[in-house]
Amino acid sequence: MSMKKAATLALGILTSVGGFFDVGAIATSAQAGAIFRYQLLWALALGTILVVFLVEMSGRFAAVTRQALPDAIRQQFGFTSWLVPFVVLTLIHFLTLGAEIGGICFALHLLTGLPVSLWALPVAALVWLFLWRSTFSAIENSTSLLGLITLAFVVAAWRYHPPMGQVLAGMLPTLPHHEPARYGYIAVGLLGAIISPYLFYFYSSGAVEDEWDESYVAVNRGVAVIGMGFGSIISVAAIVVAAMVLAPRGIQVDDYHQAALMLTQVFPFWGFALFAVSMGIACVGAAVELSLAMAYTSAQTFGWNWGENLDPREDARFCLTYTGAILAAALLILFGVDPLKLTLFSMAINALVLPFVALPFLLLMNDRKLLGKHANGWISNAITILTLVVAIVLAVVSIPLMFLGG
Amino acid sequence: MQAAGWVFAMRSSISQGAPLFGALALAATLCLACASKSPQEKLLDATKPAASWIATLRMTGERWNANSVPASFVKATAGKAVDELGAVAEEAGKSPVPPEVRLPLQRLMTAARAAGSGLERAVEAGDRPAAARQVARLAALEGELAAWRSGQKGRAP
Repeated sequence: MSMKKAATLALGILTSVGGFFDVGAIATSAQAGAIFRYQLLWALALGTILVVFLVEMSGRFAAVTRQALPDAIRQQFGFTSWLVPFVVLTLIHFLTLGAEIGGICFALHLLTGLPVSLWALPVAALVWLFLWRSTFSAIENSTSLLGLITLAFVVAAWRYHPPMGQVLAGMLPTLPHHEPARYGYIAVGLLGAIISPYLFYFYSSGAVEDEWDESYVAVNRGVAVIGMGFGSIISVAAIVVAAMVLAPRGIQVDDYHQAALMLTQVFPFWGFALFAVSMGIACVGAAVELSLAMAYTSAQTFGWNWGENLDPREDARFCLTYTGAILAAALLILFGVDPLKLTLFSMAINALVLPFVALPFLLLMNDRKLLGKHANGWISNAITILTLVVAIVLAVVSIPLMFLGG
Repeated sequence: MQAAGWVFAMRSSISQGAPLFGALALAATLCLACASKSPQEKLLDATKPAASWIATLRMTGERWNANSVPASFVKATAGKAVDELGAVAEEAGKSPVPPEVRLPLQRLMTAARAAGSGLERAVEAGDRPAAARQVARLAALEGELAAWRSGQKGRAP
């Protein structure tokens, strides 16, 4: 492997670790640990396996065909077949972007004491400026490397010495001892937070921006397996910390103020600031990725010029899309939408649209005309079909669970 | 398989899957219908977040006394907790359950709100002994609410 590819692999793994954790992971992991201790770890484990395969496939597809997923879906299935999923996904991405912007605003509220809504427009301006001024690599590497601060959760979990037997037992699905509807709702939210549709569109578009070719297939596999695998450890750690700190005190996470106490016991001086900074950086990274994913998807759907590495004059509609998305999403927070409720709602809705995401995977990844020898084997197909089944079940149960347990 | 074939298979499976979706939606609706609870159970459910907010206030006060969280955080958390506890007190006031069930709960919520506001004032004044007293009061209220809840669980239909 050349030095360049080894560096790409190392950086890719680091960025996956740092970029895995976002507002959805924080909210759902904190709730899961606080209410059900280790019992929902299985949802995280299942989600991680599925996301590793799906990320690997989206990267492999982009490396071999040099096409991003939305572009390929539109070309293979036609504009009209893709239009409805595109509109639904855009709406979901918009809500998730609002949740991420809300997460940044809440982190700033923790650090400054100023109201959450007051930060909405400055945060929108910051995210927009970051996108406007930076190249794709700068965005990807800076936010994700800074995101390594979220490893504070792993250190905290390790220092609490959790009961390993119970942690391992939580990796296997069991029926809840109480609040079954809430158990189901949080399980759906955890899966929705991990298997976020935007991740695949962003990742495959990023691979095209980075000019990956067939020789990057192995690098992509390493990034997906090692990076996503390690990344999920941060979410596991967040569940463990919530289970060790909040659950024994009977604190549920109905508001981010409650989650903010998670690290204060193990890091008495820095814990509060570490939580706020971790949350802020994780959400900045995710907000930037989501804004770009929305612009990539729109541009590829309508056949516009696109690329974060292009001058804004060369892809004005691409830039206009993320500008409008950021501003509109910030308005949700400005007008007082509760960031945690928006996050949990977005994660459950993420689960609802998973069939739209998983089905094209199955179709495209088996097209030997496009992928040749890199088309899916039986293991990848089995995992995609499992994803599709899980996605359909989640899609059907997520709305009733939202009423019963949300 | 050709992409066109896949699309055809996909469309056909979606159309064949419609009754399954319908059945699952019906099951979900039935679940919603079955989810109706007695007023006593509803009140018990409402006290879960109340217990959580009292515990949050207590931990926030403890962490402030240990210099682990800033005063602005305590004020924001106390403000939110007082609002949430007020909502539970209001729900208890409107509940059709007998007065001997709801009145103790309303008193508990009023006392918890007072302790939350007291913690906020103590933190504003930088008075650590007063904050510690409110934390002790909140710990006692946590115990009282737990006792009320276990008493009601025994009685709930």
